[in-house]
Amino acid sequence: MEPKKQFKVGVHQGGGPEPGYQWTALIDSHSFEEAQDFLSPDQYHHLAMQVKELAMSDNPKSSLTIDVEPIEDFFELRDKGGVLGKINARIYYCVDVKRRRIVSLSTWNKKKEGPTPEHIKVRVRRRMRIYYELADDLDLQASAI
Amino acid sequence: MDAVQQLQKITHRDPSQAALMMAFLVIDDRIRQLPKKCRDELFELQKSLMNAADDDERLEILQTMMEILDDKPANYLHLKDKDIQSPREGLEKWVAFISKRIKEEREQAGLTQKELAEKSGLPQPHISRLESGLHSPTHLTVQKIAKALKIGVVRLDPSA
Repeated sequence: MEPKKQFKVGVHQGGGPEPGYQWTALIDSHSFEEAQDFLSPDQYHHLAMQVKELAMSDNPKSSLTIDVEPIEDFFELRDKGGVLGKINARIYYCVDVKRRRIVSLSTWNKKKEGPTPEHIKVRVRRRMRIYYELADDLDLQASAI
Repeated sequence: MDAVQQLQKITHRDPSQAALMMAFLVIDDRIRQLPKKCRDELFELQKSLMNAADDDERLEILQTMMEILDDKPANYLHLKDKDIQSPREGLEKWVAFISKRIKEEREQAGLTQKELAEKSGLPQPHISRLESGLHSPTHLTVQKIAKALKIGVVRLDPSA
């Protein structure tokens, strides 16, 4: 696996999405680490493209091109095949409408059929709660894979 | 007799039981220091742990429980455009392959990009980006295109 490179960037309060994007895409570091555990750089790159695709859209809560479903107060992005091969990838994210942010909260390799298990929901709920507690005062880092 | 004296007595009598009790005391102390919301999440996970279907699930639950007990400050990464613009050989190969396959199958079906967009329910600019190799399609997109072209998904994505 390639070494992770991370560096801090200054993000001024109220800084909006990048040019061409309607939403700023953030990743909880736990979600980033989970992704590194089972995705190759190519596979991570593919999923990052999908998140950025959502960030370009008016409404990241649904999509014509990406399989997205609401679960409670958050959303599940589902993808498999192609560069993902047999990986059944799930990205759980929340949409912070007030701050125009999409926040990836958990990345999971779903290995069994059936609905999202309770422990994954607890994990996502918890990270979402913590995000909203800190949302106004974040020290963001740029993700470089 | 206070807890420490009692622990010393047990340690002397049965070292393995003492180690177990020490572990419980440490975890109990950590749990007591957590905010109520975190304790509730921990107890909810404890229930899931008891009913875990297999080792994978057990490990996932334990990892989340450890995350709660660690209670490290949250950290967020900013997904920048440059993260997804640097070339990746494997992904580039896949994108080149699928873009070629979509174009070939569309032309074989005698459809324009606009017609394929109408039949598949996908935006025409998206199909154009796919055929130009500018984007890596999701499984949902590949499924929609295959259905519109009346071909199996495996004709476009052999891994499907």
